[in-house]
Amino acid sequence: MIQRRDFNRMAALAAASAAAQARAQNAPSAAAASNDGIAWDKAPCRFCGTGCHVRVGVKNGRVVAIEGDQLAEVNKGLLCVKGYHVGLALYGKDRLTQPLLRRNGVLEPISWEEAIETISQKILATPDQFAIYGSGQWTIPEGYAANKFIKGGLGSNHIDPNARLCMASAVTGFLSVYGVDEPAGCYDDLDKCDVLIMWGNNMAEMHPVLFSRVIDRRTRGEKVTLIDIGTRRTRTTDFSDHYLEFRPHSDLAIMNGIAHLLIKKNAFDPKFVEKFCNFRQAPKDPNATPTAPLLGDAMSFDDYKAALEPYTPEHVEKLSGVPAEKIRVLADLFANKDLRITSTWCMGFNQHSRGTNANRLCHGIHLLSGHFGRPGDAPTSLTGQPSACGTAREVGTMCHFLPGGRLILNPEHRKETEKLWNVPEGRISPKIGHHTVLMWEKFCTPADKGGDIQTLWVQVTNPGQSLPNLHKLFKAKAGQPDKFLIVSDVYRTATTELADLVLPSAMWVEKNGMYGNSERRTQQWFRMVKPPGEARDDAWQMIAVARRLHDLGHPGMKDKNGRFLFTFKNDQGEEVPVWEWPRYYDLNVDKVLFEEYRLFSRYKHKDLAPYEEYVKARGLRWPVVQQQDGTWRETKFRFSEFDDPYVKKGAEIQFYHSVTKDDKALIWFAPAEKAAEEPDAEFPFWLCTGRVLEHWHTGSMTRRIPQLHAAMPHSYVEMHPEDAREHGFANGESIVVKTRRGELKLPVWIDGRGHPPRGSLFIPFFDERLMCNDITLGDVDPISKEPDYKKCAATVARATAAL
Amino acid sequence: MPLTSGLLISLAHDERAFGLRQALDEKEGVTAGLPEGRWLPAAIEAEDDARLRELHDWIAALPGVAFVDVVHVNFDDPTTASPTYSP
Repeated sequence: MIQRRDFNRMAALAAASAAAQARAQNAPSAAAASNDGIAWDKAPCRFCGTGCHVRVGVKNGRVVAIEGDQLAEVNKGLLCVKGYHVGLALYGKDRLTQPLLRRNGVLEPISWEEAIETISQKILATPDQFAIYGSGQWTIPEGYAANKFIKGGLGSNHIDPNARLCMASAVTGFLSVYGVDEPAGCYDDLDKCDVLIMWGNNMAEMHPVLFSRVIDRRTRGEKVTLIDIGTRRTRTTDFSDHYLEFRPHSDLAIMNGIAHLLIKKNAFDPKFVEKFCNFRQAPKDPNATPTAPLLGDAMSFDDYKAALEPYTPEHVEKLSGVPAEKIRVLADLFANKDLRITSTWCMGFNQHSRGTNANRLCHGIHLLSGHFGRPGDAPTSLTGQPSACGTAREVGTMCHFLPGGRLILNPEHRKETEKLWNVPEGRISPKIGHHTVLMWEKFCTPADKGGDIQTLWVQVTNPGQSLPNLHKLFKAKAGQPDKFLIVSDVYRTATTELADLVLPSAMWVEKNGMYGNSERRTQQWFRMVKPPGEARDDAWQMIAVARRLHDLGHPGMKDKNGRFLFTFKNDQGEEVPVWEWPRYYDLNVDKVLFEEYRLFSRYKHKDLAPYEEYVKARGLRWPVVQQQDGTWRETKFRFSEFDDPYVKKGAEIQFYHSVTKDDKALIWFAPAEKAAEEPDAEFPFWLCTGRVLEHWHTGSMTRRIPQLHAAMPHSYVEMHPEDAREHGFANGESIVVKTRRGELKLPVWIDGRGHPPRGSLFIPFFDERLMCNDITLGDVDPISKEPDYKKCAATVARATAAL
Repeated sequence: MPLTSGLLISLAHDERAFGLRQALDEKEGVTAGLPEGRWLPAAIEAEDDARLRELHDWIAALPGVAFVDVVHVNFDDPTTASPTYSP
């Protein structure tokens, strides 16, 4: 008789064999069917923005196995170390299972009714001082419900997602270059490029499945040149053909150096530039209008050329530390139109106090050289969260957006949105809400000193660990009894430590969901297991509060016809009171919300298909356009005639949301500038923060997974061996890292996984016991308002010595 | 109950790969499948995660192995302990 261990081994081998067949045939094949009472269904992974699909094995109401999904184009059956343990994220033994209210300093269990009533009364007391802090981990329907609730119901725009901390500079980059957000290309570019340039992007550890996809091409015998441009050596460097180490913040100089050489050697693409591009620079008066920094001032090609004149390879070498010869190598690659070049970036560009400009310049060298619009020729940003694109950006849960790329400041956009929401004209406030850093600053500031946020509801994120400069932006909330913090989460976190009300949430496959990944791919999954205890869906929590406010007479909770803002009807046309938890799954709330949201998607040509199309697919990349035969077709390469149905016939390339309304993209000039805080005699080190392979962001899920916790149990500070020797530090010794914001004691790792150059330190941010954001700077990009986590000045000392 | 993982081994263009199959067959805890082109499926099992990781690393270090991806994990293991919030 077959034993259970034999079955497990056979199932593992069957899954691996299916993956091998798929690889050998370069085509997806259905994974081997297994029984043993396990029911399988598809879902995107819960963690990063890559958007891998997993097969989730459920038995006896519990997730018991995970496989890479062979049918998923994104990952072709592969997963990273986090992905194949994702099921265990549900089963940490300290899951939150009931609402908790802080009384006399202690969180005590209360009923859901009391929790909903408490929130409703807080909102009613000061409706204009209520804010929502959301997430790129919100599902699309969750984000849509929260956005509609606050903007269309309460008439306030004080909502912002944590994506402000990771993707806001990519957004302002795309908007100011193409007039519309999100990449033109997709992951297929990784399969076609001859050269992959990773700009401050440790893809091997942060997007390992995508990196594996590239490395796999090498094992097939294809030639693909990898270039790692970074501030410390990583696993990505080990696989790269070239490593260019630059002085922090000097990446703008490198890109200007490339553009300089392309023009100097007449090696740019004049036909592409003439036909498809205009030139821009920062506006003389950035405060002239709210959108002035995004529109910029026009400049001629000659002005652009003159502005680049100082950026000779030798000058760039002085600024960046990258040898002039390497700058020439990069420029020569861009000068070669026979090559296909893909650039990727993530937090290196975005968490940068000149992040918008870094994004602009990268798009700029692709446009200037004509490396755009062919498969393999693309500038592509990668996201860190599973639905930073789908929810934070496309649904428009930022404080200045409305759904589908519309703007709060545009009266027509407000009117359209009010019409689609069927709310009275004027319901949506014309005033932009507080962005993330401002929101938390206002929340942590006493009311009599201008702190105009009194009640803050956090969902699906952990700002108590992820915000920069935590003493100022989070911990200052302590001791302010008039400030009320509500946190919906699945585990206790650094954020719940200061929460006044904690709501237990359902997570991932404990609820229906939809995500949108880095390559415009919208993905769907169904609930597979029930959440523990009294944990409930985040969207339900929002709708239940909206309903309570409706019952208490808040006029904003009704539409123009006097109906509740979240009215749901079943197939028989009967209203279903989904705000009553036992009735929530009487119909598919996700489907109803998504179908309503879908109506917003056409304006910026981000067309979404009907919900049922996503049920069938492993995600579809927008615009998804219906064909004459009734089928729905996704778009891989936007703005390119050969693939994008919205490009006019004969146009070849058409930037149909052009900022300049002439179907052209903008090539920006931006100078290299000094960082907000640079090393000096008192604080002689650069401090960079980031992620590790085993943990996802603040570690609130991955630290509960024993295998991942064991593999990377605590944080550390990476240091160059020479620096360590000079200070007399031994590997593993506890040292103190100090900045102007505070200090942190943690073990030093010399010649560890990453290798910072002399004068540089690196600390990951996953560890709630060693929170590096106690000491980060938090200076923001002036356009995107995204903080710079990648550089500030620090000093070090032996833990026992006085600093 | 032992832990199991399904691995997809990418083979390098290298004559050393000829000895790979034999090495895998002789290793306790490793079950190799039939190769498909330059990809070899394998299942590994061990009593704990550390040992499983050792096996993974051992395979990755074998001559002729270009890359090892994990494609399946079974964690139907009630004895696994989960860390809790610990500020």
